[in-house]
Formats: sequence, C-alpha cells, structure tokens
Amino acid sequence: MNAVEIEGVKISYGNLEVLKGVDLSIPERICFAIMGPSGCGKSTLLKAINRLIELNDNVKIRGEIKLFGQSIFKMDLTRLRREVGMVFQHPNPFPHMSIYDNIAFAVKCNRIAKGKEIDKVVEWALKKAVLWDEVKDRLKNKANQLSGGQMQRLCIARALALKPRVLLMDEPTANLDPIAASKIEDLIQELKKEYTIVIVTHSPAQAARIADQVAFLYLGKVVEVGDVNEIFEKPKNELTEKYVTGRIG
Amino acid sequence: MDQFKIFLLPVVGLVFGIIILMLLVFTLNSIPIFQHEGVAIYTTNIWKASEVSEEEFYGILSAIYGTIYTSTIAITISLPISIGLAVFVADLMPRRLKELLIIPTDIMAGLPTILYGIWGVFVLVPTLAEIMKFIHGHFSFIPLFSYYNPTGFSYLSAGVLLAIMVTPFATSLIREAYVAIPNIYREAVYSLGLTRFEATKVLLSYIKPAIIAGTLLAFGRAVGETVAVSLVIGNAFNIDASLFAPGYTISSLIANQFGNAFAYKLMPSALFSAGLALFTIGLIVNIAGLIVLKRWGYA
Repeated sequence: MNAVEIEGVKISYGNLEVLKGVDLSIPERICFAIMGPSGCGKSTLLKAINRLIELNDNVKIRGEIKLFGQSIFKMDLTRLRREVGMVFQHPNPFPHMSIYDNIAFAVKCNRIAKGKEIDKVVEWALKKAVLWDEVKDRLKNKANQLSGGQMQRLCIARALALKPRVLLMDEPTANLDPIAASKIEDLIQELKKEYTIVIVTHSPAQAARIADQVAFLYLGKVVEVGDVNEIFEKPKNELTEKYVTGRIG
Repeated sequence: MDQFKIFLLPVVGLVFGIIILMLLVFTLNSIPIFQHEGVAIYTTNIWKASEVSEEEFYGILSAIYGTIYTSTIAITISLPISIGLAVFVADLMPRRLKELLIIPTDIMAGLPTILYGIWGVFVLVPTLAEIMKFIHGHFSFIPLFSYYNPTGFSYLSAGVLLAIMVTPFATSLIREAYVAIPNIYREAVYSLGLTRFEATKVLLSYIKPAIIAGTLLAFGRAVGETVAVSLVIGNAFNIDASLFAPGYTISSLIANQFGNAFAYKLMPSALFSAGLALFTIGLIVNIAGLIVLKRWGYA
C-alpha cells in the first residue's frame, strides 16, 4: 500500500489557484522529493497532507488525499497530525521552552508516554535525530540557545517523538549553513529506512542526493515523476530537463 | 539631525520635569505629617480630625489595604476573562465579525469612569447585595463571606466594577500579543497533533510575559481609579478580610476628604502623604509591567 495517495488535488487561496490538479503516489519507506521553483505550490501541497494549509483563511481544497488508504479528510485531525509529522523551513522549536519540554509536552498531550517513560521517549527521539550527545547535559536549557542546525534537529526529534509514519519536510535545510545542512541530509538517509519522508526542496542537487523518487512540480502541476535516476539522467519532459540542468528555476 | 534633537529636548525635559516636580510636591507636602507622627500614617488605621492640631492623627492603612484588595479582586476576575476574550477574538471569530467585538471593547476602555460609577451604584450594588445576602446566609463561616448584613457597598462591588473597567484594556494588550505570535510557532503547535485547547495553552505560554505585563498595567489602572470606586466601596475606615465589607481606597479617600481637609492643620499633609503612597504603588506596578514587556525578546 502507498503511504500517501494524492488524487486530483486542487487548492486555491481566494481566487488564486495554486495547485491545478495534482496526482501523486508516494510509496512507504522512501524519501520522496517534491522539487520545483519558488511559488510552484510545493509547500502548499506538503501542508495539504497534514491539513496544516487549512490554518490559512480562504483556502479551498478539492480532490482526495489518502494516508495508508484512509481519507485524511475523514480522519480525526489530531490523529492525522500525530501520524504525519512535520519539519519546517524555519527551525521553530518553542524558544520559551526547554529542550526537554519541546519534545515532552507533545508526547504528554498525545499520551505517547507517561511519567518516567517520557524521559525515555525524549532520549530516544534526540538520539534518533543525532542531537543527544550535544544536548544531554543541558536538557533544561532554553531551546533558543541552540544553533540553527541543532534547532532543526530538535524539531525533527520533536516530530519523531510522536512516532509518526510519515515525515513531511518543508525545505528543512534552506536556512542552514552547508555543514548543518549536510548533517540533516545524512539524517534523512537514516530515517527513510523506517519512515516515509516527503521532502520539499527548491534544489535539484539536494533532491538528487537524498531522494529515491522525485516529482517535479511546475506552476501547480506535476510535470514529471519517477525514480531519481530516471528524472536526472533521462528526463522525458523538456521542462524537467531544463530544471535539473539549472536552466529554469 | 542634531538641531532636530535640540528642538525636541524641551519636550522630553518637560515630561520628566513634570514627573519629578510632582514627586517633589507630594514629598515636600508630606513632611509635616511625617514630623507629626512618623510612618504611623502608613501603619495605623486611625482617622482623627481635630481643631487642636496636637490631637490630630491620621493613619491610612485601611485605604492602602482597600486599594490593594480591590485591585486584586479586579485582576482575579479580569484576567481569565481577558485571556478568554483575546483568544476568542483572535482564533475563533470569523474575520468580519472581529471588529464587532473589538470596537465595543475599545469604546468601553475609553468611557468616562463616572458612567461606570453611576451604573455601579444603581445596578451593580443592589444586585450584588442580594447575592451577598444569599451567600452570607449559607457560607458565613468562610472568612471571605463573613461580613454581617452586607449592604452591597463593599470591596467586592468595587473589585467587580474595576474588573469591568480594566478588562477591555487588558484584553486588547493580550490580544495584540497573541495575534503577533510568529506564524512559524502557530504552525509548529498545530503540526504536533494537539487539541485546540492544548495548542492554545502552548501559544499562551509563549506570550506569558505579555500577559504578566498586561496584568500589572491593568492593576496599575485599578489602583488609580477614583470616582467609580468611591461610589461603590462604602468609604469606611475598615480593614476586613470579608469581600462583603465596606472599605476605602487611597484615591477615594483623597477625593472624599479633600473638601474639608483645609479646615484642619495637618489633614492636607496627610492627604498628600496618601497621594505619595498611591504614586509609589502606581510607579512600582507600572515600571514592573514595562520592564517585563521590554525584556520580552526571545525569538
């Protein structure tokens, strides 16, 4: 079964149609990259999968999105967002909370663990996000004392702690320096063995490095989708070729 | 640029000058009463006016107590309402209806306070009196409700009235801060499978400094409110734990006693020293509020 099934999705803000009918099948336990130039609707598509897009006013969504065969529009919203974790473009741990609490509070609210068990989940998530060794001695410090790359890994840990099956990543390295970015990319390679990762990126190079399958989105439509080698070595569509060779974007 | 600065300097100087001069006037005029009885003016509850100046004795402890008591009641009532209203307007109301609630609250914040006072005397006090009698009848063993035969003119009435008056102010401060929470944190909260209640709790904890500052500034307003309070508090030199007891506040004391103060030698000085106490409380609360607001700079 596919992890995420997107069928004829059209999304508009007011009168502006951003997605003009998107179909995608995202298999389980791979890293699936959605790439395309700015403004092509990649983030909108990603945020439609956990219905975060509906926080905006005037959003209209048509079409169907299924998570492991079940319509997300018929699922309980808190359950959907527990199963579909998300990491954002700007590292956004809550600055007023401690490193520990950033992870623990959502674990508590979602009843993932209780009492002493919470400590274990926090440690597990931080290890999973390869942040544990850097922060284990200062878990009670405020999260805003971390570096950008550490903050982003904390956000990944925060998402993983809820034991999601799908992890959405919206340009997670866009605001990081190259070293921090490559750490995140390594982490993604590790995580895709257990999770389905859907990553949005505006960098074809990044998609080529980390993804198994790639969809190229242009002006609200999927131009081409396929295995990463196909897309980058013998693209069927001229637009795709131009994009991956850096002539548009 | 420098000439511009020089041009503005007198304006800045004027503002600071007025504050300093006021403080000076209050301090200088308080000296006679301090010489007469020392700090007893602030630590005793005696109000003895006399033609013979040696027999005059004034202690405004009951007014200081009443000021803090009524303002605390006001904040206790107003804070949950302000937060609830702020969240409701920001998150739950349809965009077009928001103004419908924001405009009346802003108008409420700016109304002349005597209007609240009159409403308090003719509507609030009689209504609360009935409720007080009922509660006193059944729960008089609890100290808060213990005052015998409540008339309605009481700490509670003043506190409720003050709550109504400061809520619009507090709610707009909290609402502004709540709406200004960066979108990236809003998205983060909602991406974590939290219920609406849990998500709101996290967002409110993010603006906690703004809530504290809003509370302090609202407290400052409640402390300074005069006319409305003096109409409903009962104006009695009284220190009582009961919500239903009549009392005094510093500002209502000054307003009430001012008329006949000049018939006595030391009473004007006593009222100035009361003003000094009010000045100090107001200054502390407002500065604390502003400091908290200033320090609020995480992200």
